[in-house]
Amino acid sequence: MSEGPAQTIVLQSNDNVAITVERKVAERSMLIKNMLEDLAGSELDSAIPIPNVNESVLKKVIEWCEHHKNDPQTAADDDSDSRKKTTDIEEWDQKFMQVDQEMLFEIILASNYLDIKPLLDVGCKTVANMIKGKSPEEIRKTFNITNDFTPEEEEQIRRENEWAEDR
Amino acid sequence: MTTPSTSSALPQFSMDPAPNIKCPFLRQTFRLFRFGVTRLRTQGRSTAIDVDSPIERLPLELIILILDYVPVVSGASLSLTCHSFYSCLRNRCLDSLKKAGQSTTCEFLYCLERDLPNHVVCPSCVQLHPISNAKEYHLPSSTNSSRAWLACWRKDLTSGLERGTYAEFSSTGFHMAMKAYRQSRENTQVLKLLGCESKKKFDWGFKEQRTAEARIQNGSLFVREQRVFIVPSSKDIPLPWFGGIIICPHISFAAMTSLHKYGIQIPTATEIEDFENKQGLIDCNHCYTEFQVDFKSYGKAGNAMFLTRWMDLGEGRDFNDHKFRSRLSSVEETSWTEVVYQRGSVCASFEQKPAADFKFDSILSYQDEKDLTTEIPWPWPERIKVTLVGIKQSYVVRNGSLVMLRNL
Repeated sequence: MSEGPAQTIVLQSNDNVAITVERKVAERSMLIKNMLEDLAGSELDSAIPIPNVNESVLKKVIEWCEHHKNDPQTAADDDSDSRKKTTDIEEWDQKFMQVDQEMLFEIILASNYLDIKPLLDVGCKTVANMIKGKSPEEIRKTFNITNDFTPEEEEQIRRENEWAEDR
Repeated sequence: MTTPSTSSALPQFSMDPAPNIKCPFLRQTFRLFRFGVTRLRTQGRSTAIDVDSPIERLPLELIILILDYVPVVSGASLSLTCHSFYSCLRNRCLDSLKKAGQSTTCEFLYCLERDLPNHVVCPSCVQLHPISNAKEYHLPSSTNSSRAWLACWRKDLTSGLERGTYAEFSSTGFHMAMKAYRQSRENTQVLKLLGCESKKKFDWGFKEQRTAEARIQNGSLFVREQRVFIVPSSKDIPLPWFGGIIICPHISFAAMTSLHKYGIQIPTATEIEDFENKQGLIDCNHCYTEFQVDFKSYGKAGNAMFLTRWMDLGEGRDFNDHKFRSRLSSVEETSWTEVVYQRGSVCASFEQKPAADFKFDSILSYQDEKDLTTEIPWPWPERIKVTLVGIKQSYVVRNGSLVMLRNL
């Protein structure tokens, strides 16, 4: 078992760009980590394809993994309460997430696919902060959602929920 | 890579991205399959909605993950943005809103209100009331006798708002007028509901005419009410023999003659012709109310007392605003607080001219004056005489304030 610092692997984005990454960095992805463990012993001689994650998103995700490569790994099932509710995001991650919405949601999808829970959390918190305290119309404006309700439908929803009188 | 879907139904998956699959190959396949479905759903949605909103590309499980970080109120807002969010989030978000109780629902309604130019939140009813139907929600004008009493009507009554304003006023009407004003929408109808044209009252030996008007100046609601009492010119003191006067929750005169007790100058019938009101405006020290008492002779038709008062109700954004709250008679005397404002400023804001330029008899229309000076239909009760003799003055009017003599 050689644990040399130069141990790297190659990831291949869906637009066929090969990116060389330090193994430790790539292992922030539980998906890659598990796969490498499963392949232990066998020679890894080709790039690992990452379907549906393009080069720019993959590079961004690797940038995050690079910065967080020494973070303690959270237990796989450390779900539930401790993780939730607070939407505080550490400063570096906040800056990291200052990207256009296209990229933000691609990062979320990629971190979900690659199973990088802490990055998925940062992404979800970032979106949560964009939603907090906003009215439906303000949320629509923020995320460019088209209001496809007719005024009559909106009125009906208000009546059904007893937010306004039936009149 | 992706297959366009014909179905817009959202597949539901476990939130665990990797179920406990032992076989590495199967686990890998599972992930790829999942990712494929995600994109598939994306395609279905995007084509259905025909807009490019990246958030709508997220699978439901990720939206739900985000909702874990969002307060109930904002989750409910998100569920109302479009049909697809409504159909997949309504049960989850709107049920939690219902369970969260009234104060959270109110908080949500205030959010919703920002999108609705025609509605105001009624915190008492925990509902939105439509401004276009103001007449039905403003108690003094509501004609729908079959409707159950609204919580806001009960609240106005129990908080003693009428005592602090006048009969035509309601908190809901006030709120509606201010919202319509801020939205630059037509608000004359609602403002009209908050006032009244000349209302006439007859009693034994005297008459009363009353008008009230609401105006918005500089973003605040100002109101003016004037009561005019006329008694026969044969009576020595130009005061009705019956009734009292409420100025605000902090100043009231139990009987007409109490005006004298509080130091307000009252001329006799013989003095009234040359009487000049030197006291001018009197301010309340605990709320934004100013009033003045004037007298005028109408010759043989009688002698009249004019009681005019102005109030500043504030911006009406929040019922806890001091300008509004200080009008509620339900506030205990121990929690009265001093308010400071420039003397005459409330009157001047309403009249849009210096308070000194206000002519007390200028509000009466020609018809009002004519009606006022017609014969008083019912006779003054025998053996009843209004006199100020024996009423001890315990206050004086000093620089527009009622000051207790004991404190001087």
